[in-house]
Amino acid sequence: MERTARAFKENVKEALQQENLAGVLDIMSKFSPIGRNIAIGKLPEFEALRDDARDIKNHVLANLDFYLEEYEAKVIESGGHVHWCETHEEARQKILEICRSVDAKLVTKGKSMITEEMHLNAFLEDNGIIPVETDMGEYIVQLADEPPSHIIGPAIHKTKDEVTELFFKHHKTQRWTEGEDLMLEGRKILREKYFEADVGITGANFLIAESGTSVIVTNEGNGDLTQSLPKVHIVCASLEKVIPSFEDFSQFIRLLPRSATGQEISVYTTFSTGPKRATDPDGPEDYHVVLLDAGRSKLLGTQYQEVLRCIRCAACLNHCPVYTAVGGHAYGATYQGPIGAALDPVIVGLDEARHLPNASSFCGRCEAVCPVRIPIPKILRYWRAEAFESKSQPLKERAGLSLWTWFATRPKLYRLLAGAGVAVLAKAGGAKGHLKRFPFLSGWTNHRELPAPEGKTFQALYKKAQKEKGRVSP
Amino acid sequence: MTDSRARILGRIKAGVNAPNRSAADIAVLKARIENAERGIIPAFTKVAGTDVADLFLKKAEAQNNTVARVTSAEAALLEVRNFLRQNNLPAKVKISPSDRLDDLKFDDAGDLEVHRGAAVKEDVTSVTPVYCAVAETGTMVTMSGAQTPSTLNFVPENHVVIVRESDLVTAYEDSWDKVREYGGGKIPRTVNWLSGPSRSGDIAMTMYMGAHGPRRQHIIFIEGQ
Repeated sequence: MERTARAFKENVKEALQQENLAGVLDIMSKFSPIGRNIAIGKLPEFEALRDDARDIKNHVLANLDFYLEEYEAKVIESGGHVHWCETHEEARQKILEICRSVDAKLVTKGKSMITEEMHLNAFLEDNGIIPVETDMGEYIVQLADEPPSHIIGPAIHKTKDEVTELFFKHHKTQRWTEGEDLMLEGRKILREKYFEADVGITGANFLIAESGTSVIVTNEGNGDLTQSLPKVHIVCASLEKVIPSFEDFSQFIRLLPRSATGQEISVYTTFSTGPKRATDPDGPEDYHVVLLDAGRSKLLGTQYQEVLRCIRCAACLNHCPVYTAVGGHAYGATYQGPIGAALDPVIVGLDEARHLPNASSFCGRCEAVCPVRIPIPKILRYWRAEAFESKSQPLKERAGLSLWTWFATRPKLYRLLAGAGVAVLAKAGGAKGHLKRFPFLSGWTNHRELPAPEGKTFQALYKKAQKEKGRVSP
Repeated sequence: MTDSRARILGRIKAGVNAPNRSAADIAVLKARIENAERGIIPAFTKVAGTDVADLFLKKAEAQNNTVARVTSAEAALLEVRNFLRQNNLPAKVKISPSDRLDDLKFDDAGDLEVHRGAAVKEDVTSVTPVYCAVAETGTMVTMSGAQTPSTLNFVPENHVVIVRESDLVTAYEDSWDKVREYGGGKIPRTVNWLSGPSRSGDIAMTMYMGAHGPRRQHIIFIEGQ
């Protein structure tokens, strides 16, 4: 079933009913932060590296046109092609055109969030080309006909039993129940595909301007088999992935795996520059880069620009109290968690994604762990304000906010009513100091008791304390 | 030059205020690429002498590589046989057609069946040299080329890597200097960093080895060479 960002509230209700999901998210939210903490604990330079990475990305974004043109020139020099695509549709068509040029029947795919954005698999199928995801997690969600639920762990929401049933249903071999056997089964099936495929599509974690190189960072090696065995390698990347040099890359690679999985280094880090050379015994004969904009260039020079620093480590997801409660599918858009809430309005439009910036308690953990220091809460606030100003919220919400604003800008009246409200709640709480039910608060009280206020507002208590100290309150 | 390219670049230039960039600004940007300065290099990589090998091997083992230290090319070939025997593998290897493996004398290896070239589906064990290796994370750097097909790193289930002490550098930045030396600034089709055998945590958040690439990666480290 296709979930949408527009239906976020319904998606959340559904997600909260799924016991399996709660179990896996619970494990993830406990262990991911530990892994990251151990890894960065061994690297005293980590915080300084974060500053450096932020500064490099800021420098690139301020000169993005220059670096992209330099990058493009180097790709061409090494025998590759760069296709600039403004929209998802343009990118899909370009990929199809390349596939058709070699009469492709089967396409293997390494992990690429950009291709998720453009719903490439469905499009290729509609055009008679079979796409096979080769990242084990992506393969699992492809079999399940679901989108990824986590940027780097696409099938994180699936239990082992669910994978057992999925593999049995599709492979019709044996009902493997051990994780190791399931991995071997997946390996065996996909191995054949690498050799059969006509085209291999990968994403890119970075593009290096110095040499026209695309970089992928993986643990499985699927991306390498995907790009070295077929005749054609297509790299799908978005504009903001470019960085100047290998020295810059060296800074990012010290941050990315540690932030993502708590690894000091990914197993495979692969740098690809153009097609096979004349004397190379292996490698693709053609090398294409599909360079996607899809709304990103419009963010430059705006208050949203900083979101383009993202290196997709997913640390913000792993540390987010909202993501770890509802999982990734609830977001109903390509990117999940805090970075998804900040980025999806660009990809699918604010009207569609307007709930996502509200899916935050503003606890700030996302910003605290972001390797490139993206001020995610600040960006979410900007989206909230824009959603309000553009009148994309329903009347009920807008009316509520307007009413609150009316009171909040009349301090005397606000204090009077707040004081009365607090007194009523305190009284209703009784001796226990908890409320089991209260009008308009069922969203809270259906699941737990609401602690009742003590009887006076903070302002009243503060005023009283100041008076007792003999000071005059402002 | 497509319209899309022009429109995208136009929007970017407007967003970043590019029309105000002077020729001097552009020269600075070009220099930022051509003479890229090194950033922060972790202090723990600043080791010398035999400590470099110790750091490399410690990190490589932590990434699930198996490691054998030998002191000669002859011993390295013996270790290849040991590895095959201990893992109950056929006495057959596909090796890089590289002169960097000549001193192991694979052709005199008697009952060991040796083939050279790019990997095919049936290959079970490969043996390759490295271009260099980085102590920082126990990472081996290989480059595609006539003598070093990159598929040997990924297709066979078992990958034996010959690393010599002289291949070692301490930090990533040193490896890039070496890569740039190779082709006078020209980068080969692929540079591969290999930091251990293949694995995946995608099934029930548990790490299983051998997702797609080699299930075993065995480093034969030749000291003093």
